[in-house]
Amino acid sequence: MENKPLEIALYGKGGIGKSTICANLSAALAEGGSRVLQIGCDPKHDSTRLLMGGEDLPTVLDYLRDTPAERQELSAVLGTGCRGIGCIEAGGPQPGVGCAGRGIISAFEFLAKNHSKENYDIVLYDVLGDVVCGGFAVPIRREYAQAIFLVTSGEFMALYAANNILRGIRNYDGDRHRRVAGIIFNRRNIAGETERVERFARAVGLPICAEVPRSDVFARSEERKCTVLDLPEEVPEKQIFRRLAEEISSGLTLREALPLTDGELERCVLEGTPPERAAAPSPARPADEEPSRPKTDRAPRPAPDAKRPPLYGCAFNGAATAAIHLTDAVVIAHSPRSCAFYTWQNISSPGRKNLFNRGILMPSAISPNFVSTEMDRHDAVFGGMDKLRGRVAEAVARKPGAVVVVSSCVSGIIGDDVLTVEELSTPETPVIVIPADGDVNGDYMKGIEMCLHTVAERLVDPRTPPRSRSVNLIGEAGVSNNIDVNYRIIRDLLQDMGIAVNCRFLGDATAEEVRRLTAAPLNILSHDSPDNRKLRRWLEERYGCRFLPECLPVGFRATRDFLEKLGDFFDCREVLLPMLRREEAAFLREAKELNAVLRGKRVAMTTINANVDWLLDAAEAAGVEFVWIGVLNYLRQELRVTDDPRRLALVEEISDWPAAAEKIAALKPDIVVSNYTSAMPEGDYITDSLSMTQLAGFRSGLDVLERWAKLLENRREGEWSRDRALFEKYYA
Amino acid sequence: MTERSLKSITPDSITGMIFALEGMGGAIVLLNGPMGCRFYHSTTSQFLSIHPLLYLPTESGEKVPVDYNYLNDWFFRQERVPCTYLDGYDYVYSTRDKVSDALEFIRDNVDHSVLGIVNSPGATLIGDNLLDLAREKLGGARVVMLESSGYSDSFEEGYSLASLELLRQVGTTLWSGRSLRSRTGRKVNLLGLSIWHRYMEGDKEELSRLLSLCGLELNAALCADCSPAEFARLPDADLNVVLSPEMGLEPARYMAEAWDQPYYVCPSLPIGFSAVEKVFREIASILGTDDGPLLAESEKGRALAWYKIHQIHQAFGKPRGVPFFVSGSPAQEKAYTAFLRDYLGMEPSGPEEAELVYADANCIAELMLKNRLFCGIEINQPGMGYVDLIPKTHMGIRGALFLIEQTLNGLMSKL
Repeated sequence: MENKPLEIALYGKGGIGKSTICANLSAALAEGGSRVLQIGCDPKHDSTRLLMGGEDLPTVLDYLRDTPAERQELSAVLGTGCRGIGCIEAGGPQPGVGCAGRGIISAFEFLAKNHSKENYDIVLYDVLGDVVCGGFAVPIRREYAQAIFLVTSGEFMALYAANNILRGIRNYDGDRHRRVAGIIFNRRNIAGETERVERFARAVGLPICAEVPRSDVFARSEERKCTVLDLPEEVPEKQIFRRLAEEISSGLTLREALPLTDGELERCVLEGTPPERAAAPSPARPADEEPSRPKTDRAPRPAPDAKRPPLYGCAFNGAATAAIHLTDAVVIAHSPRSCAFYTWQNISSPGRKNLFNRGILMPSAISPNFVSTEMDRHDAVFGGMDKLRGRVAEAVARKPGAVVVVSSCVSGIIGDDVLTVEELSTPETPVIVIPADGDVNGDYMKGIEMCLHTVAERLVDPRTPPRSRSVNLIGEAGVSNNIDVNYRIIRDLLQDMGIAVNCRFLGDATAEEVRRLTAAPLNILSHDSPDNRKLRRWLEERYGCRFLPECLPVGFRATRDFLEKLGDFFDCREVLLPMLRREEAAFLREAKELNAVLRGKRVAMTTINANVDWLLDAAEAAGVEFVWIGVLNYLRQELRVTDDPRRLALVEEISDWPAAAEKIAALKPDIVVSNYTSAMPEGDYITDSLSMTQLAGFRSGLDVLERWAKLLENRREGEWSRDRALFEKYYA
Repeated sequence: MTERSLKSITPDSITGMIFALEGMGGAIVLLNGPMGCRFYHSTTSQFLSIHPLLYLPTESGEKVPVDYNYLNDWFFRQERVPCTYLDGYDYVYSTRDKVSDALEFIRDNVDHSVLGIVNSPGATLIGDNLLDLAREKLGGARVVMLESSGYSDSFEEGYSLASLELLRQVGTTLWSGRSLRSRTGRKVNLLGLSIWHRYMEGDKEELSRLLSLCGLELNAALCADCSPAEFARLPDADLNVVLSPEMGLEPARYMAEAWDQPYYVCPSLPIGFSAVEKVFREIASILGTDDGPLLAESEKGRALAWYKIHQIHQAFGKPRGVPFFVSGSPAQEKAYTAFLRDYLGMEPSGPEEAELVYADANCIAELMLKNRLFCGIEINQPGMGYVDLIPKTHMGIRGALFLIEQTLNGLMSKL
C-alpha cells in the first residue's frame, strides 16, 4: 500500500509573501523530522529559491517544452534544498501567451505520472491565488490538498483574493467537506490591519493560525539566500513557523469554506460591519447539523443555459468545410489533429460515396488542400503561434492562390493572436484568417458565413471588367452528395443557352475566380435558406450584386420558369423554346407511364418546412393523391411548403414526431415520406425519404415518383422484416 | 497545385479514447465538448459495431426500450456518444453544470454498464474536477473519467490510456476484495483490438477460432466488443496477448503488476501464414498446449492458396513483381508488407507506381483522382461505403486467404 503524504496548499494573492512563508514553513516541518516536498505553482517560479540557496530550478513546464517525452525524467526538475527538502517549480508560459492555468494542469500530470510525491511525508503547494481558474484550482481538488491555508495581509485586495479562494473551495466541497485550516496573517503594517483581518476571520469562521510580523529578519534571510530557520542567530520569527509546523504535525482542525458575498466583504473589511451570519471561529460542525448556506456572489452567467440553444456543429468546421472549396488555396487548421480530422471526414464523405456509388470523382472532396498545425499539450500551455507561423510560411512559399487559416477552440481559449499571420501575405498569396475559435464564435453555419465574408473581403476585386452572359452560383457551401451533381445539371442547361458560370461562391472556385466575382451580371442563389438569404443581402449591399429572384430550380415547373427568366435576362429566349418543348413532352410521357402504377395512391408526408411543390406537381400529373403534409416548423417560420393556395388545406403544423406518427396511422396511406421513417409506426405502406438537397432540374419529381412506382410494384415483404424480435433477443 | 499532408489529418488521441470505451458492451461515453467534436464519433460508432438497443433503467429489471424521439437531450437523436454541447460561455464559467445535468439524464433514462466521460481539447484546458461529480451522481464503480483529450497524441496513445484507465478506475472497485484466479492454464485475453479497426469483428472471431485450435480459449478482448461479463473475468486469463504494443502493452503491464498475469507481445500482427504460425506457435508454447491442429489448418490454407495463385501465375506471370503500396499504422505496414513481399513475391513501391494499394478509402480515392489504374484494398477506416454483414478479417488463416483473394482479384485490373 502506497504511503500517502499529507498535502497542504498555501494560497494567497501574488506578492503577499506566501512563498517566503511557505519556504519557512517547509524548513520548520523538515526541522521537526518530516520529509517535505514544496511545489511552487506560480508562473514567476521563485517559490523554492530560499530553500535552494538562491539557485533557480528548471521549471517543469520549461522542461516539458524542451525535452522529448521519451527522455523526460523527474530528477531533471526535482531539486534538493536545505534540510533535504524536495523542491519543484511548475513554472508557466511567457506573459501574454498560452494559458498559465493549463500549465499547472500539465505540470501536475507530469508529476503524477512520475510519482513525484513518493518518499515524502508532507507536500506543500505554494499557489498564486489571484485568479482561481480551473488550472490554478487543481491543488485544491480533493485528490491533492487535504488542508488549505489562506495567506493574507490586511489590504483589501489581499482579503478579496482570500475570499475568492474560499469561493473556489466552496465550489469543490459544497457543505460536505472541511478542508480550510485557517489564515496566516502576513503583516504589512497598514492602519487598522489587525482589526480588518480579525473581522474577516470571524466573518468566514476561520482562526488566524499564525501572525507574521513585518520584519528585517526576512530581508536578512533573503540576502543570505536562506530561510529564517537557517539563519545562525535565534530570532522570534523562527518560533512562529515552528509553532505552525507543530500544529500541522499534531493534526489540524479543518473547517468548511464559508465565503462572503462581495457586498459583505466590503462592509466587513472596509466599514467594520460584520455580516449577519458571522460567528466566532469554531471547530468543525457535527456532520448532521444543518449547514449554513452562504450566498456567494457567482459571476452572473451572461445567459442561463436554458436560453442558450445547442450549437449544431462548430464554426471551425463550417469555415474549414467552406474554405476547402477555394481549390487552389491551402487551408490550415490551427488545431489539434482531431479537429482537422472531423472536418476532413465531413468533406471526404460525399467524395467517397460519389466515387463508390456513382463513379464520380470530386477533387475538392477527395483531395482537399488541408493541413493541421497539430497543436499539442505544449502549444496549449505556451501558445501555438510559432507553430502556426511556421506552417503559414511553408504554405506561402509554395505560392498557392491563397492561404486560409481557421482557428479552433484550443487556440481561441489560450488566446493565440491568429490574425497576426496575415502579415505573412505576399502579392501572389494572401493569407486569410478566419478566427472561428472552434465553436466559441458560433455554430457550423456561422463558420460558413465567417468564411464567405472574410474570403470575399480579402479577394473580391470590384474593379474587374464585366463578363457578359455569365452567372455566379452563390451559397453552395455545405456537405451533400448532390451539390456537385446539381452543379453539373445546371451547368449543362446554361451551356445550352450559351451562358457561362463565372464563379461558384463558394463551391469549387479558384482565388482568381473569386477575385472576379463582380464581373458576372447576374447571381443565382443555390437554395433558399435563412443563411443564404443573409448572404444574398450581404452581397447586394456590399458589392451591388444583382440576383435572380429564383434559386436553383427543383422540378419541372420551377426549371422551366427559371430558364425563361434567364432567357429574358440574357435576351436568348429563342434558344430555349425547342428545349422546353422537348422536356415538356418527356415529362408528360413519363408521368403518364407512372400513372398506370401510381394512380389513386395516397401519400402522407412530414417535412421541416421545405417547399415541395416540385413533388406535388409531378404527383398530380401521375394521379397520386397527397392526403396530408405535416410540418415540423422548428424555426417558427412562415409555412413554405406550397405556393399553391389549393394545396394549403393539406398542410398542418405538428409539434413532434409522435403526433405525426399518430396522424399517419389514422390516415392509412399507401406511401409515407419522412426523414424520420424509423420513428413511424409499422403499417401497410411503403416508406421513402427525401434528400436535404434535392436534385435540380426537370426530373426532380419524376425521379422520386419512379422510386415509389418501383417500390409499389414490388411489395413483396422480405422475411427479414419480421426479425426485429430476434435482433432484440441476440443483441439486447 | 498544392498537396495535402496526409500525416497531419488522422484521428488522434480523443478518437482512440472514445472508441476504446465504446468497445465496452453497454457503455455510454459522454463527450464533454462541443457538438462539432461529437458527430463523427456518434455516427461512426453506430456503424462500426452492432450496439444493443438502449433501455430505460427500471427497478423491476424489465427492459423498456428508450424512445429515440425522447433522446433529444444530450443524445441529439443519435444513440451513441451523447455530449454536453459546450459553447464559449462554458469555457469561461465551467462545464460542471452541464455535465451534472447530462449525468442525471443518463442515470435516469439510459441503462448502461459503464459511463465514460471524455473531455474535448477545449474542455481539457478548463480543468473542471468532474470525477468526483460523476462518482457522486453515478457511484464510483461505473465511471471512467478521462480529463485530458491528449490533444494531437496518436489514436493508439488515446486508446491505450483509455483502456488503462478503465482497468484502474472501474476495475479497481470491481475486483477489490475478490479472490482472483479462476485460471485454467488455457485462457487468453486479447489486447489491442478496437471497434474502429476495419474488420474487428472478424479479427476477434478468427483469433478466437485459432486459439481453440491450439486448445486455448478466448477469455476476453479488452475494449473490443467486450461485454461486462468478459470485462469482469479479465483477471482469470493465464496469458495476455498483446497484438499491437502501442495499444495493448500498457494495459498488459498493468495487469502483470496487479494480478501477476504474464503477457506476450506479438512480434508482428498475425497477418499472413508465416506470422500467424509464429505467433500461435509461441502462444501455445508458453501455455504448453498443442499447436498441431492450427499448423495443419495453415498447411491446408497454403495448399488452397497455392492452387489459385498458381492458376493466375501460369496465365499471366503474376503476382510476382507486382508493385504494391501499403498505408496504415507502422505495425500494419510491417505485417502487410512482409506477407505481400515474402509470400506473394510482390514488390513494395511508392503510391504512384503501385498496382495494388492497401490503405483506407480516403487514400485510395485520392490516388484514383490522379487517374491511375490500380486496385484499392481497404485495410483501415474509413471504408468506401461497402456494407459488410459477414465478418471479414485479414488476420489469421482465413484472413490470409481473404487477403490473397482480394489481391488476386485486384490484379485483374491490370491484366
